[in-house]
Amino acid sequence: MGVFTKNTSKYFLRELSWNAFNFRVMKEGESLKPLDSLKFMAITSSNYDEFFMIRVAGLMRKVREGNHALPPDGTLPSVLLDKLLKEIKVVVSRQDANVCHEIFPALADNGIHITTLQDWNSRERKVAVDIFEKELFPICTAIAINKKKQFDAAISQGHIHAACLLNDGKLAIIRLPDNLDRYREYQTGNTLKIVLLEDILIAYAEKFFPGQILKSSCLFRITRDADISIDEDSDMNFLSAMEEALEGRKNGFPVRLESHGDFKLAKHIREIIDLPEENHFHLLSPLNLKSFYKLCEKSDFEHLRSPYFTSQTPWDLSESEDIWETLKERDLLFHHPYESFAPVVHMVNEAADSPITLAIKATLYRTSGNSPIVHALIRAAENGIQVMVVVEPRARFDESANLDWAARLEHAGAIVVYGLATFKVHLKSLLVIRREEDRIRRYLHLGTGNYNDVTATLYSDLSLITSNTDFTRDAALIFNAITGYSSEPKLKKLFIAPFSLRQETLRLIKQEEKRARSGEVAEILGKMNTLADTEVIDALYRASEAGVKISLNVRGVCCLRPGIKGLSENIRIISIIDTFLEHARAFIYHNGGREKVFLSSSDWMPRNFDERIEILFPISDQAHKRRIRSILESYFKDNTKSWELRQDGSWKRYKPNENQQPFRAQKYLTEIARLRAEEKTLQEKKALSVRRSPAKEK
Amino acid sequence: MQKQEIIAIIDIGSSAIRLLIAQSRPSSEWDLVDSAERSLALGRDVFRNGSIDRKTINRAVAILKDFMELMAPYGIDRIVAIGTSALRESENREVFINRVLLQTGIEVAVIDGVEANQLTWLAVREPLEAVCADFKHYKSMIIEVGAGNTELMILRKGNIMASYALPIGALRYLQRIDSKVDGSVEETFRHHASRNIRGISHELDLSKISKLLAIGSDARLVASRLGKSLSPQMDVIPLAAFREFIKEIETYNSDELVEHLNLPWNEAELLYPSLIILNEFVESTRADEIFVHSGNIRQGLLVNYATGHSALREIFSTQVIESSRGIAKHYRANMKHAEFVRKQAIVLYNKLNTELDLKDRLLLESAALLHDIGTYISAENHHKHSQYIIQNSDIFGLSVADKEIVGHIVRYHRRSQPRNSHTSYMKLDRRSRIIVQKLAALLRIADALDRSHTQSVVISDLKAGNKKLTIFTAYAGDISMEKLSLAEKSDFFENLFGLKILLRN
Repeated sequence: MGVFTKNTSKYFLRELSWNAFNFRVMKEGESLKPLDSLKFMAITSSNYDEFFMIRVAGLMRKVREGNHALPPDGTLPSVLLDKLLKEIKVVVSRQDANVCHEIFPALADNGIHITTLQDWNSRERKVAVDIFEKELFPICTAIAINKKKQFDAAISQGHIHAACLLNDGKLAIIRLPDNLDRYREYQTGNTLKIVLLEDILIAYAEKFFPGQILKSSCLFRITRDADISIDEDSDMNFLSAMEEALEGRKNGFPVRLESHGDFKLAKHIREIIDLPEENHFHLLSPLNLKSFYKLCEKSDFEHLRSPYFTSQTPWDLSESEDIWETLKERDLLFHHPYESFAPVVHMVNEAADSPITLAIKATLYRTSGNSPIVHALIRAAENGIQVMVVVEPRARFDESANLDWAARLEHAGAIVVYGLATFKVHLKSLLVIRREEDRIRRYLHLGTGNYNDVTATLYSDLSLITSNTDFTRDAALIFNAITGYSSEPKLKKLFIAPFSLRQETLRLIKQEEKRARSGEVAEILGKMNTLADTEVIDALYRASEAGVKISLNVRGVCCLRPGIKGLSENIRIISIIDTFLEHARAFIYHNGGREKVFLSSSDWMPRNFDERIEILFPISDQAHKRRIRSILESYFKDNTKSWELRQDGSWKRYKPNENQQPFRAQKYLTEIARLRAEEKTLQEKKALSVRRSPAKEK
Repeated sequence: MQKQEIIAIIDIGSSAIRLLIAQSRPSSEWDLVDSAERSLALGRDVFRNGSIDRKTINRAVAILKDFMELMAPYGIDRIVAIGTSALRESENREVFINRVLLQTGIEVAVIDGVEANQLTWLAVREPLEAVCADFKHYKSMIIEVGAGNTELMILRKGNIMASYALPIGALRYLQRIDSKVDGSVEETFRHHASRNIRGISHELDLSKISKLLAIGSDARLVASRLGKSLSPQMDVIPLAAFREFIKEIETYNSDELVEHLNLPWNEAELLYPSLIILNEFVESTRADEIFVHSGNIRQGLLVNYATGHSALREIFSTQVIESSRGIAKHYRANMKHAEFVRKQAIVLYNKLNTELDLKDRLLLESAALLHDIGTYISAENHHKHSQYIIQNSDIFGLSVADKEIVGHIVRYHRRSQPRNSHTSYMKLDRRSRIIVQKLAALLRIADALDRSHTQSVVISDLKAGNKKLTIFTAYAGDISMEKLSLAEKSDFFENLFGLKILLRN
């Protein structure tokens, strides 16, 4: 995977770098047990869904409009698009081959047989025809296609459709219903057989066309441009504007065609929708691998995947402790998912039911309606607590889901703020205000991840709870600003985008550069998802040149070109691709020995610095600082799931040599969390905790 | 555990509405619980058109409604809302106050500049003396350049001599220049400010000032960039560095200021003009450094204001006396007589049950010191001249309402008594009239006791009883003049207190 087009460029191109990331995800999947492996292929595939809808669509729009700013290295969008699609094709065909030739056979050998039409015997046929007649035939509609316009109307974005070419040359489209189970299972002997709904549809599609013969058929899926924009100035209520835009997403121009089955027919469809050949992906494996997630979680097949993971009780807090009392004395730091998210949920639950809670304020970005946090907030509002929630309706692909539970919150009496007109609210923060006996106290949770119960077990994030008044004061000001009560806040300890985050980041890098120039030891250790901001990259180049040792763990896109003499020879970039999605943003600046440690919701990319409300917050507790350092350092010791970026843009995968012990950071962090939890249980057992009511005063 | 009181303070300023929510602590300190600030172009309207636009009123109401929502969960015990210079000056402030009351239930009180100054001095005095012990040995000045007004306090020996709320402000000036600009706005502004301030500086004799304290957000910003920290609350900026900084930012436009100094938009616009004004004042003095209070004293001020002045009064009584003395001297009053009358008036006040409070005694003292200053203009009708001067001077520690009372006490220290035909007197509210009557009655007696201006008839004892107030004096000389004068002036007293006055030696 090459990731740049010009050898002289100082930056790698973002889109190509992203594709290299998805390649790494796929590669990681290749080495796993079959069900895990399938999951990684599904992730790769679902990543592409988003990537096509936004980034590829964006490039295509630029090419169509012909009026655009050049990327940093001057590469034309058309040239980039061409190269990008070629490289994507390499990854997708390998992913396709993996699924068909490696994973499905391996599953079949181990008791899960995902059948194809060709494999069907009489038993399968019997099952299939039954399902077709009872379920599919009554609800599916075949739509004859004469003109392109009809075609557009008949196709829904992202859904699987069957195309049927009849002997009179007519074309008809049938949409695969998405409210029916896609997998039909039945047990034969030791094997679980799975028949796919789309195969059933194709197998008996002829029944929709009495008196006709089905000449050929294929399955296909169209992805459209989905970068929605809303006219913020229009008089329309924001929510209706949003809903209208979501409606409009169905009609964006096509950016990708995936097909399975008869290639000639698929090609015909591509011609109808007027899509270049490069955007067409004809696959052997089933379409929309994302829906295979559920299969990967299937019980009774533990031997086909890595053991189920459980989060541990956090080191910082025991179950018996009163979280409010503890917080009066110290901050709490959690490392998810190694440590459970439960204390945060617990805190919000307690607050929701407590009569002394005055208000709860939270930003919710990509939260599910089932999230226990949302449930707690709804309950709090019903209990008469002022609940103020900033919902970001523009969190991509979750828009309609967001609007739904936001309405439920509003119904319960919460004040719901639908984001800001110009900035997406991306910071994750929750503030509980309590009227305690002696005074009003505030408790603040700040995290690098979303309040989402599902991703909390899959993403690796760091979060902090504190009652430090400098923090809570700043947070209250931030909430007042993003809920419209107050204008731009002046903050003491926290830095927020788009006001001070970029400046502070540049300042911190500059400080290290200055120290290096005056001969001091200078070091930056960081972790983020994306590094794409050229101003920050240039600052890092200057720092590197001055002698600052820079080690960055960048999971995904990295536009910085490391290891070039006179430019970036002191910069090392690694990427960890493992079971948990690396999602935390953490930064350590050496600061002449008095380390400055920060956590953030923000990546180092222009979008985060300039177009979003993001937060950068310092860690003050010495033990927490040490802990974050040891976490960041562990990634650089990893020699099994780690990749290093080379100066030519390729990524080298680490493998332990004979003399080295294999070291895997995520496994190490899991172990650490487990050991600490055990140690803690032991301590608590030793402590004689006596259960009785308090002594009566005489 | 005593119940905490939670108050909300709303501050309606020239360019913004601020909300502070504070709670009391057992230690009688206050904790800031929440705060919000929204910009509102009150000053722009008022300094340009003299009144507040309807749009601005609507926006103010909308902001205040939001603030009410923000306050809701806290269980606020009391809301104190105040308006400062812009609101005070607007012609339609009653409309504004009424709209706000009707639509939000919030009652806005307008406070005057001098009243605000007292609060400022209270906040800065201790931290200032902690870092600059000799501050009080010099003639010094405290300055705050605001959007609409520049507040000045002149101090001598640590006492406030005078305080001024000058109609000089960045926003006010920009509004004027805006409408008739040709050439660079900065250039025009500098000329305009320079001319005005030079004139005022000369009048106020600022060239004798050698120590200087600046407060306000613009000064704080400069101090945070070039200042040296003397204490957590106090920074100092060397004058040279200050001049250089002004030169530096002269070249930036507002965009660049936002960028370089990391400022919000509305502040960036006013930064340069504010600093120019500050600089003009600084250059008129002989100070070579600028002290800057680094805290947000406005918050402290507002909390102080809202939580009552009781602590404040004590500190201010000396300031009020000092400031009154300064004015008396300025108008060449006979200081011996003035001081004598003041002392005698206190003795009388303390003996009699006036049912007034300590603050009112202070007004009596001020009136005693100032009762004859009108003779500077003419001996004839000097009580009227005195009243005029008092009501139009800045007497540190006295609000406009206070000066009205002092002016009227002085107005009635001679022959004439309040009458229904005295329109200015009739404008006072009932309580103020009672204060004026009682204190004027006392002042008349005290003044009569020094009719000869020889400070001879010192009250040695007072006896009240049997419908009589007997004044004893140890002076053995001729007291006929005082007796005569008492006979003329005591009828007012007798009517009020029901006591006949007798003088015995």
